[in-house]
Amino acid sequence: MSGHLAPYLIISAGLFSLGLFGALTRRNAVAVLMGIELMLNAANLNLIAFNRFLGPGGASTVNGMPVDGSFTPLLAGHAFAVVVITIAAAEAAVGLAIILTIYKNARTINVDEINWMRW
Amino acid sequence: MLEYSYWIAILPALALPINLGRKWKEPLPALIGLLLIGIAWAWSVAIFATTLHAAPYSASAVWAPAAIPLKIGFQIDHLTTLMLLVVTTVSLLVQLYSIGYMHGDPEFNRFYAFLGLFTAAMLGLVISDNWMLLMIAWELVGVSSYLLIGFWYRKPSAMRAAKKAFVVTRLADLGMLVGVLILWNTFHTLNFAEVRAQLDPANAAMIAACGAAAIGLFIGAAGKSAQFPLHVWLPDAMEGPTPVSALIHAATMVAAGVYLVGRSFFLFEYGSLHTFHVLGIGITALGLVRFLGVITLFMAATIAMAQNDIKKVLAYSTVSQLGYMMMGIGVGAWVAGLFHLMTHACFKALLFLGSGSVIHGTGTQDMREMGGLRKTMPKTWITYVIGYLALAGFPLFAGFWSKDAILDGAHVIGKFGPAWYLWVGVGSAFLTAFYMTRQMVMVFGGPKDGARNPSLHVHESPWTMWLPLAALAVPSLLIGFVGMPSHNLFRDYLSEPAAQVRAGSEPAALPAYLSEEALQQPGVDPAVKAIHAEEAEAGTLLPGGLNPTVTTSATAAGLLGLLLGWFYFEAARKRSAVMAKDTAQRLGLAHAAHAGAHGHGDAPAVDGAGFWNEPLPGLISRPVFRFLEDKWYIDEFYMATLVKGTFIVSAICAWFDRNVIDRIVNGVGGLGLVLAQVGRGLDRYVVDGIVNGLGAVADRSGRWLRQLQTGRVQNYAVVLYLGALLLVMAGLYKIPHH
Amino acid sequence: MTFTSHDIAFVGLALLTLAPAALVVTLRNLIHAALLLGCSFVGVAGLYLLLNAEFIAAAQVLVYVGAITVLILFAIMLTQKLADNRFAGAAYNQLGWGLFVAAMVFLSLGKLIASQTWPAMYDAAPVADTTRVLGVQLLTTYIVPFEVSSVLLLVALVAAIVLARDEEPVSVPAHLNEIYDDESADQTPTGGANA
Repeated sequence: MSGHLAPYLIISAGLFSLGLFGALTRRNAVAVLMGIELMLNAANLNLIAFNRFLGPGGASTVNGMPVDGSFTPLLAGHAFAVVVITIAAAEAAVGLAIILTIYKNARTINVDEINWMRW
Repeated sequence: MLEYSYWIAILPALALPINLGRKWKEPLPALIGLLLIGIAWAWSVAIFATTLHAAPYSASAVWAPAAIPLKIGFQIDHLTTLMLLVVTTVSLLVQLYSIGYMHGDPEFNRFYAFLGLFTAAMLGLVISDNWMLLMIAWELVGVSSYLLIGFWYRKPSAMRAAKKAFVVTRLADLGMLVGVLILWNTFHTLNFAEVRAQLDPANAAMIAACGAAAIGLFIGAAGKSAQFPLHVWLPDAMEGPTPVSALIHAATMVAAGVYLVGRSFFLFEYGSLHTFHVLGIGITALGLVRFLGVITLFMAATIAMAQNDIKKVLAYSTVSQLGYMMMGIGVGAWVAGLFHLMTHACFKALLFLGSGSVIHGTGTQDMREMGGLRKTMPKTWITYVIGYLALAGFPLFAGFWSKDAILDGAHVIGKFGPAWYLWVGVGSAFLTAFYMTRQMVMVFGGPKDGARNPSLHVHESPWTMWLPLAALAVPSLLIGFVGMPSHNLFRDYLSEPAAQVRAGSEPAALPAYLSEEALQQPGVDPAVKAIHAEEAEAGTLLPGGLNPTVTTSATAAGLLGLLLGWFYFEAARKRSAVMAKDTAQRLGLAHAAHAGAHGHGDAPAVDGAGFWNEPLPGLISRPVFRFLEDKWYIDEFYMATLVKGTFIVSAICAWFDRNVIDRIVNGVGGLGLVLAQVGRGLDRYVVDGIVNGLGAVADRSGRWLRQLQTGRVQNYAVVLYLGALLLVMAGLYKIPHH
Repeated sequence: MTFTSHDIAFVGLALLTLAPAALVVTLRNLIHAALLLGCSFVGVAGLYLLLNAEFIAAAQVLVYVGAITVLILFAIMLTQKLADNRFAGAAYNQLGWGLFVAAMVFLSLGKLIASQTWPAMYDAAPVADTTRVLGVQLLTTYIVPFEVSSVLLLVALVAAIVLARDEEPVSVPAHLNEIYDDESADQTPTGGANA
């Protein structure tokens, strides 16, 4: 079971959908942010899993094995994941700073009350 | 390196966005400005070193492609290099100086942003190889001058001065625009070298066109360089911060007009082959230049004698010296004019920065309140003395050589035309020495605690302020030697790559645009003949190649001005101090006993200091003094004629508009009304029905659709995901299964 | 079908990931939700280990569990008064739409996954020392994204500081009052000439 790709993808899809549900429905802005973090984690899990099963080396492999013994495997998925983690950290910092600023100005962080940008 | 040298003109402008970007804490804007101008300065020095014997470099690109393409570009020749050095050096020192002078101003960053813009525009002006780009930079210089004069825009007087400077110079720029348009129409190019190559000494129409264009360019130059009758803005511009006065209104921008005339000198010379006859008076381009120059020279020198504001004296002195430069170019000695531009930039920037130091140290600009600063501000005093002697033409100081070169040109023209230019120039040299001595005695003379206003707390300025003074004092002392007539490095430098005009002992070769025949025609300006006359009077020269007539008379006039001024004003100062003491003792004013106290503002003088309110007793009568103090009533004349005249013309136009044009319009309108009634019925019931119907549809749908914009971000996200899902579904059910 | 130790670990970690995640998006108490979010992150880190990504797993624990969870806890405590009665109000907006969209996304993703044949995992770990190889590649092949993310971090740092700080008023020194005092004069009533 853990030797196949599909179970990882299903878990990732589940994690993504849960995060999406949270992001779409929670009233509290911090909770929305938590949902977004879950979605980012799901994306990361996908990247790592694809790297393990479909890489490394991409087209130069047959069933994941190298055609010849002398190649430098590219850890593209891992590199992507590092970048995504960086972005997630930056997003969390800036997002929470925005939430704090909104809280200072409006004394609320309920997203349905933050609707000044409407008709 | 040369092909990228246009960056010199771009770099300082970067200070504008950086320093306006936000309110940086105090020293930072200055450091940014100093860094940028420092690079430009170092680059200019490098250019000077590498092009010492090189041919001019120029590069241009097509700006507006057309049948006759409009090209703009830049060039590096010796004149440009010289101006680059002058502008970057003065700007660098002024920006250093402003750290101290503008300390504590809440808009410190804005000041440095505008200084950067000005410097960039000025450098663009001198680096341009055509009149087009020059005019663009010229206007940018005008704008930044406006911004800097009005820097303290909360002061109504500064606001008015900025507006006046802008309007007067813009009015003059109209002349320049006309000149440039004439050139474009005549030559289909605005490049200096290309126009010069096309000049034909046998083409009378072209000569007349160039004469008119040169007069147009000179009107523009007279506006920027504050020549009579367009000089009125410059003294008012002293409302700006003093470093601005030093940079813009003494050393660089006002010199731009002199630069323009010097740069276009070939055009002036060529155009002066033709004499225009206006109301029976013959006018040539160079004749106009020297005539207005000499009027400006004399008028401003007389006004400067009667001013009590330390900066106003220097302002009128600047106007007067610009008159010298213009007169020098007008009599054909254009190299001497540019030489005076360079030396004047050094010593007048020095004097202005020194006056700023005095203002900074005392907190007032009124010379009647100062006195005795020699002891309390020694560094300022020493450098000021050097600038003073340079301006007064004391032998071997910078101003001595350049003034002498100009007067020499006036002497040469005397053999071909009017001789009185020399004697007005010599007389003004006397006046210059005289009024500057008056200023020295009023500001620095007297005992240590001799400030006539005892409430002043005098202190010496910080090093950022006196260091530029010291740096400028060196060239004020020494730079004149590069223009020593016998070894004239300056003239050789400016004329080396071009035609050898009056260089060395070789016979003067005529440039291609002049011919012997053209010079023999009637109506040729004497200056043109004077330039190309054979050298004469060899063997009777003084050491250093000085002409005996000119040098003796000018030096004698200057020294006489110094000595007479010293005896006259020093005696007057002592007498006023004694009178003050007597008066004070009589009235029992203990605190004023040794101070010769003069109250703030226009409080009635109870003591001898009232003397300074009419500073030339026994020399000129009170009405004459009033006349000088009120600046020859030129401002009042403009107010009564130009401004009032504009109002009267406007009133006439308004009456004509109401009573004649409006009647016609109303008549036409009445006819239209009848036709309109017919159209109205058609419009109301047919056209309006369609238009209103369409409008109503848009209105209703808009009202309905705008409710979609709820302002709630999660609503939007749901819609976004629904859309994405639709796309995914479409993809899923299209791809066949394996 | 035989279960290896890997499989058992996989099932356990999947539960550790999904169950807390489900609670995170449903619990009313945000403090609890944030702590459970940390649990879920730990589960994901375990899955990374199963996929031979030790470095990413370590980064996951450090950044997500260590930093982001704590940051979120801080944000909750700075903005939420636990006694605030607004806290007791409805926790959800548009619950129906949210459920529908999330479910549809999950179903379509599942269908997408099921519609493909995926290769099985090869036996040997392809790279013996992923951390070292990743380090080398981040500084050679992937240097551009690496540098870009460092710039992004800097920008985010500056942005967070700018957003959170207060502006300070400008002060005018005494000797320039004469030039700048018109402003204060404007603020004082002067007889209402402009009224």
